[in-house]
Amino acid sequence: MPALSALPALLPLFNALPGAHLLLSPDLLIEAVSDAYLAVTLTQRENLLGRYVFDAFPGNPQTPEAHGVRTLLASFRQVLATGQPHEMPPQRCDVPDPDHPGQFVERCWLPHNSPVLDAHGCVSQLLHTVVDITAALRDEAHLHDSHAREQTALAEAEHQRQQLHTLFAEAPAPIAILAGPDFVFQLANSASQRIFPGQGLVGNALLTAFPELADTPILPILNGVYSTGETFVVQEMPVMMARYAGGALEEIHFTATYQARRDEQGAVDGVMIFAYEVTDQVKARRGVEENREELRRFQFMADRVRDPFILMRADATFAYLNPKALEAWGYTADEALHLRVPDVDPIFQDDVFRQAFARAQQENIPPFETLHKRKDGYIFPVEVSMGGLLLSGQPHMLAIARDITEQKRTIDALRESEARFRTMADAAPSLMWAVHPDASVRYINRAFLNFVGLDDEQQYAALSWPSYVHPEERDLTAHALTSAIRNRALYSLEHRMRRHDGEYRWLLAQGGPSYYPNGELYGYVGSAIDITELKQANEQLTRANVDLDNFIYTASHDLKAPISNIEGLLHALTQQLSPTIQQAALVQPILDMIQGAVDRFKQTIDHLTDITKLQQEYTPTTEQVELTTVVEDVRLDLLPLIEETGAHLEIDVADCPAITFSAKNLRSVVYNLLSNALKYRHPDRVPHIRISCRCEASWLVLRVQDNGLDGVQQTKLFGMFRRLHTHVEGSGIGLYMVKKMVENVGGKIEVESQIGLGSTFFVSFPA
Amino acid sequence: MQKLPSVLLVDDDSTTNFLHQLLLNRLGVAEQLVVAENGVEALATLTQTCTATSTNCPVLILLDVNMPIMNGIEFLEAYQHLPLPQKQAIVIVMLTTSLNARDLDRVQELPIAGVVNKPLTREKVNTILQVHFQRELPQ
Repeated sequence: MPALSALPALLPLFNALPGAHLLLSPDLLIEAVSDAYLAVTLTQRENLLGRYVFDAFPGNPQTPEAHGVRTLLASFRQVLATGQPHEMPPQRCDVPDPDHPGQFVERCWLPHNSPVLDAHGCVSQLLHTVVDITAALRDEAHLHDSHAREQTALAEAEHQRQQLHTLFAEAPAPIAILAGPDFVFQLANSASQRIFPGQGLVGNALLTAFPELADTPILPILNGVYSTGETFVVQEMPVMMARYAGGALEEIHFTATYQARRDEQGAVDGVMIFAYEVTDQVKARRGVEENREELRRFQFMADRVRDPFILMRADATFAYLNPKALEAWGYTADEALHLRVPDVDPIFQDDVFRQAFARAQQENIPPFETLHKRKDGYIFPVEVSMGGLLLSGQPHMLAIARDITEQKRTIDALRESEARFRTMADAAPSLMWAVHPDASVRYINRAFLNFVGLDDEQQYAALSWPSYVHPEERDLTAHALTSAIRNRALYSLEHRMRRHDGEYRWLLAQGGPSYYPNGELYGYVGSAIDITELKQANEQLTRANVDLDNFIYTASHDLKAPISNIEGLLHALTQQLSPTIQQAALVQPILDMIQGAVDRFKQTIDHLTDITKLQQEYTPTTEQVELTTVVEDVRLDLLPLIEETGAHLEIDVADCPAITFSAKNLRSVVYNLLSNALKYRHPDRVPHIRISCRCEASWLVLRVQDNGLDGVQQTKLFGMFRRLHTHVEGSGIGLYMVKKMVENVGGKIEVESQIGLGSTFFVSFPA
Repeated sequence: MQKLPSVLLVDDDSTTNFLHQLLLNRLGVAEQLVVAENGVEALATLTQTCTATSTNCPVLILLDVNMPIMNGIEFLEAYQHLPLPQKQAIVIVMLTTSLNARDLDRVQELPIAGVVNKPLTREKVNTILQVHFQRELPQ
């Protein structure tokens, strides 16, 4: 070993280097190997020294994808040829398993090859440095910070490369030699200087250069090595130091080897330090520990959640059970240590568990129901969600189990109530139905089945209900139902549906939303009644009404001609009568009576005509009408009657708001009410009539109060041709007309009558 | 007052015709009163009497609406297509039993001079004479 023979004192140091290094001759024979290298490659020094490197590490023939040997050889040749260091990408290069000959242990490396140059600048040796990143790469897999790790590994490799390069190629290694009991820097190479670029070290005592070390463990260590001569290695020791003289103290981590230096007599005369800074690595590892901290936090939360959290290992034991899980199963934490999944889940026996566990590593298992068994043997239903996860590189399965006993009970209750509903519905004579939220049939009752002529609802569901609906209403029905469901609105529709005999019948179908106890939509439930007869009756009624209208019109029209003729003939006859006959006792009275009869006949016809007109006039033109004006007009019209009867009129409508109504009709209303009050006066009383109004909720109420005749029966009062008092002239049409006019605009008319006091009419107009 | 040369009464009701004839004669409205009992008869009368040379073509037609065979409306539609030389001079007044909107709507489009509610009276006749013939019954 010519190179090392130049620095014989450094050979033990080389061996003790924390990094994994191999010193090779130009023909690739192993000249020196560090202890760390032996450790990571599972080899012994005596088996390596002097051997051809690829004989010692032949490469794993079972990993053809790893071209470890070939790429490494190429790198060596490059360094030998160029004299320049070469950094290789991460390599897979398995090492022989010493316990199992012929087998290999998986290893991944970050290799770096540096030339060692002689005095002439020729390559005298190769320094092969590797960083074992096997574990790092595995860590990456579950820590998901591969990038950060790779960076760390690279930085570490770079750092080592720097140090060793300096040590063996350019300058003395990052070594310091402290001489004497005061630990004066005898040697501090440039690598040391690089750690402390601002410190002048050589010639200074350690405490002079780094006074901050006085109270650190470094001094006792140095003293120990100095006094005992025993080598001392510290790993990742944190020391507060300044990188610059007078600079701020910072935490620097060292992995250091302290070795006694002896003089010729073998007495310790100093301490050699190989101090290797690992601050970056420590920081990186702290990151990992923070991840563990996160796991602890997860556990903290899991401990407090409502549902049992169950963390299982591949062997069906429990890695963790939160208090809820223990409580649900009735075990203590200690008892749970010996528990396995099959003990608490009668369904998840080992085979089932293994399958589920394997599946959970691939995908999340959707919630499913299973049974859990308590310590006391009680079995209860649970809903479980499961997923796989890696913890410390080991597959686990996390399950969240929720006791669904209550839920099951509710569902059972629901089933029971549904069964009861069906029994009831089947007994009902009307058609009853229930649909799913997607409008497909859930259920129809016996009456419905009989209607469509089927034996069971599956047949109906299979045929889909729209096929039974009349084609003209099919789209309308489907649309009405789906939009009702979408808006959670009531559904009501008339449509035709095919009966078992092929006849389409009109149905009035009505339904509403029904919900589960949790608020979820169960579907729509409703009924349908056959309204075919009703519809036909309605149509007949409408026709009859039209016919009646036409009849009244025709009657009024056709009766007019003959009565006109009778009147004309009466006049003609009168003119033919000689004065003698005209003066005969009864002739003139008879003629007058005929004329009276004719007049009444004509009046009746006129009223009939008015009614026809009114019924055609469903939307008379409305306007804002002032009640004051209308009442005054009517009063003037009726003035002769008012004066004749000596009636006392009290009008109090000045404050009334205008009424939205047809002016002509309002006049009719007021006229009829006022003239009635005058006509139907009490024979023994002076008529006292009060007209007033008031606002009442959404109504404007006109009030006409009299002290006249009484004993009215409301329903009859407003009928056509009704007269309650025979001794007074009247056609009985007035109040019927008033009622019609008021009702046509959504109003109403009422009457209150008190025996011996008179009547009060209330006409309410919608405000 | 100068009498109208000829007046045509078209009505299926004989009583009405009798009364109208009685009235018009008493008032001395026309030289000649012709009666037709439906639209077809009225058309026949017009074709016969209204030639280029005739002098007894009616100048006033009092037309009923409801008649069998051909009613007043149908008559007017046919009348519009009738090629009569003295058509310009003929005034048609429709007689109805009611001034009902249903009837009025129908006749508005037709070539009539006016609508009068039955029965005819002296006043109504006088109005027709004043409006369409610029003459007046004596007091």
